[in-house]
Amino acid sequence: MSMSGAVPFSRRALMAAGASYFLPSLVRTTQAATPPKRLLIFFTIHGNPYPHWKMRRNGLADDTTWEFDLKNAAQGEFSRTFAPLYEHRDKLLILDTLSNQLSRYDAHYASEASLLTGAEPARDASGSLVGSAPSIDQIVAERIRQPGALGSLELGVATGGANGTVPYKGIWQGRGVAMPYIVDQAVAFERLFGRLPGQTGSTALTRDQKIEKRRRVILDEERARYRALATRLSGADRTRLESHASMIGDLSERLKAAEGGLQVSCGSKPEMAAGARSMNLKFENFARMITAAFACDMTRVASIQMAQTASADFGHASLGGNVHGGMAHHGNVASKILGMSDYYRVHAQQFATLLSHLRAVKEPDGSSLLDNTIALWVPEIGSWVHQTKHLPVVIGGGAGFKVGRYMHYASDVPAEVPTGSYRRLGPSHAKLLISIARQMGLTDLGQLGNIPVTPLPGLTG
Amino acid sequence: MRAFFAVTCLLVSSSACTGAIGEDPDDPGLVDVEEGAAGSTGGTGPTGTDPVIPPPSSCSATGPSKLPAVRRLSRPEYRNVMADLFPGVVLPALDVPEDSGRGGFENVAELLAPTPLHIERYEAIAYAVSAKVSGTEAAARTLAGCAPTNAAEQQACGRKFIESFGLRAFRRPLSPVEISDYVASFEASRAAVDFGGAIQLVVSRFLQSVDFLYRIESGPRPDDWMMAGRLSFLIWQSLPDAALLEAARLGRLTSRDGIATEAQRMLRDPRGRRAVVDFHRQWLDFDKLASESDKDTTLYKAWTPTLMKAVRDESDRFVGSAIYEKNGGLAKLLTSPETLVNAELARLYGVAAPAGSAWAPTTLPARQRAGVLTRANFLASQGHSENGSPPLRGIAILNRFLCTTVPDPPDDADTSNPGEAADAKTKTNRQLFEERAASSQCAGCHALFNPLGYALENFDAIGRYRATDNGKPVNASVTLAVADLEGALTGPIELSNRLAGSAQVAGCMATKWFTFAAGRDVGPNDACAVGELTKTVSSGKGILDLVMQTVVTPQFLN
Repeated sequence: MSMSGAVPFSRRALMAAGASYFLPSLVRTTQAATPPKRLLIFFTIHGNPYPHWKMRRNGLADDTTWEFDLKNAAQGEFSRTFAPLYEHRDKLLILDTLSNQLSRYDAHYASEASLLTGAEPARDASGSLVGSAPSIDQIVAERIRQPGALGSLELGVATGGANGTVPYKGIWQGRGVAMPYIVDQAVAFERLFGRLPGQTGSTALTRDQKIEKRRRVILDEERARYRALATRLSGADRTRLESHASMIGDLSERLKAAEGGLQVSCGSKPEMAAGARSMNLKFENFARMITAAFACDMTRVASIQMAQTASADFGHASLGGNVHGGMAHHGNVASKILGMSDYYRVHAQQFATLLSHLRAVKEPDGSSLLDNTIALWVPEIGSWVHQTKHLPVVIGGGAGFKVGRYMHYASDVPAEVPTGSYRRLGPSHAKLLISIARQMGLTDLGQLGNIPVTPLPGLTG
Repeated sequence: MRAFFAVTCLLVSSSACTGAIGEDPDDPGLVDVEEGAAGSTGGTGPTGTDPVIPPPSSCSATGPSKLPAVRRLSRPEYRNVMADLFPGVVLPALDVPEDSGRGGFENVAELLAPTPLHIERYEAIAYAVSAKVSGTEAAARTLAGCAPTNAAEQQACGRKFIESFGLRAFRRPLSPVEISDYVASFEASRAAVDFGGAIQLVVSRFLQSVDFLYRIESGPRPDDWMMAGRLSFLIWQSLPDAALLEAARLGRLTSRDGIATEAQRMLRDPRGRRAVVDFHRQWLDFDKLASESDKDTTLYKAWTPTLMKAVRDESDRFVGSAIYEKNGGLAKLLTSPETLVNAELARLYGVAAPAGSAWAPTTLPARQRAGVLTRANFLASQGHSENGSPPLRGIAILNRFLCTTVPDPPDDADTSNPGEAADAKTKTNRQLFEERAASSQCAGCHALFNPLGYALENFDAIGRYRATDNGKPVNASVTLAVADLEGALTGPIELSNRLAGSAQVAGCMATKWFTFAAGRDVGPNDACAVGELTKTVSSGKGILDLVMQTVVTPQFLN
């Protein structure tokens, strides 16, 4: 990121294919003595073959708990899948053998409902599995939200053009209600940076600026009507309208901060990548936007949910179609297992890109943005088709976790639903979610949904 | 795309296969406004005689069976309302997030929760739309219908506009307190900006109001205005028109007959197509195709993005013409070979192609095709890239037409594609799936739904008809063992007819319709009303009759 001055933002330029464009000079809405902690979730789909992602050193047995240092690891010690993360080895905490014990049968739906909630999936009246509680990022966002900032930012990298679909839901607001996410980079850009004031230097307001000022007043006027109506209702209806009123208030605060803003310029001005609308391009630009938003404290919690990838996008056109159709149900065919491994390498490369962006930004105290971020890469399902043991979990940055390590846990938890080879499991991933929440400052959190959960041992050293 | 290869073993006994299976999730991403029949305000109304007003319901009203008192507009409703509020205006993209939904339905009141992204999009869209319709002084004057020459006239015009626009936006007259509130806001904007700016800002304010974005009912019974809203959102998925508001003002929506007469009038209006098409879209998951569009292009060279779009569009057009315009019911939905095709789709179905890019009515080959289960959208949506999936097709029929669910397969089930077995090229698709599901562990549940899928084995992964599979004759003869469908049959036509004559299917459709119409699940106190709706379906009446029967249920009237 450069530190140069303001460059006017043009939405048209953003939309134009092949054009490059800039963010305006950004505003840090608060100035903390110690940099705040941020949480970033990178949620990918399908399973990643264990033999291709696990890392081992001689003498470390598969059935015990151990760790080794990654900081001094050689490139050759990195697994095929995780090789692209080598450059960030000193900032990584790779967790081997965690399992999602809440998923039980149907891995896709149950995993979406439980992976980030750590709570038992719920069956709704139609028989669908849905989240029964807020996901951990939403719990954290609710507690650490800053006035005038977004509580959290949800993005999705979709297939099929700017407005394609990501048919997966990992982020939950509450029971049965998935958080919507933005898949269009122009919409995301507009949401984050579109309302920052122009730096005209003139004291007289234009007509547009006068209208813009009234926009916020109108929000406050309508918020009052939502509140008034809520007081005449009860139960869930009342809660819903109070919640709506409160969200209008948050938006008003953001507009107010942007309006009066400019307390401290964080000077970020990332150039958005331009070119064909590929998944990687969208990912790159989302990574830059999140980095800028974190750097300028526009939000402290963000997530990127990834959709399906075409096999041809990573050198496996011969397997046909997309990852699901071409290789996920591999039937132990070696070429397909290799394809899955390479698919996860693509995500490893994307995660590395994310870490690089965060690492490049210096905080006011000299640390890097990455140092103050828990970047969590967690996949929908585990190491084999529809199974949720051996989740490949990678944490970047750490915000207080002891990083530069590869940690392996013994599989000594009896499976609640033992089937086939699925009899003893590693620790529940819900423990990691609690550890993350505590690291983010929610030191009293000890329950996810209705389930009491204790932290995962060993993460802070 | 995300659906597993549903050929997996199920860890249940063969005699007790109960439970539920996850349905396809809704995409909560932002998408552009869809073009086409579902969202269109154009088109023609029904061509037949009006549905008759049904006799009084024999069901009695009970408290817990009320309709939801607070409902946020669903995404389709929001888009329709905006379009109807500003007819003839090309609006900016109305890109609000999708809602979570349940069982395919996107208008479940309890799940229409606000999220920060919704609130921001409502605000941004309100501003963009208000700028579009009143962003200049001239446009504002046109919208407000006045040309004030001084402050007093501006003030008077503003008040008048607030009352008239507010009536439409809130679907009821504003109270004196509300008028004062909006007038004060208008005057403050006028002082801060100018008359045009004040009109623009007050429009923007209305479009974010709780009374605009939510349907709110209070009191022991719905008043005339609430009843107008119930009618318009049920029949048009949108706000009342001037005539309906006038009927409300005149107190004509208090009596059952007055309400039913308005419903008859509204069903004649082409806007009635929206709710009928959208109900079928949500019930039958027409949009699933988008996530199952990945077909093997070496096997299916014809499968192009334009064909896929035509396959998807046909569903709306079929429902719009055969069900809405002709007041068709369940039988027509399942058994009618009528449809509309464009040239590319005509080739898939093997019928004469219309010229150019036109769509034209046609009748599909009667021995090959019947209704919705034999159309390319359903067939391609329930399959994999190389072949159709009998289990997925069967489970979709169970879920959508029989309201029956099955448990999930176990973690260690073999979910690999049976089409890739070493000897796959020597067998038919059916043989491969039969072998996979043969074990005692698997056979219990698969016996319920695999045969439903085998009866559709005359169709490949993109829905083309085939008499042979891998060089062998297709075997589409099955013995069904589920619900009241039991017994032997052969092929898609007989399957469609069997379903069309099933009492359980009629009851299931009535249940799905009630869920959609009420914006909530069916509860114990709804059994009588759903029973009456079931009779309407099973007696062979059309969708418009089903709407009329809904209007006279105690749930709707009270």
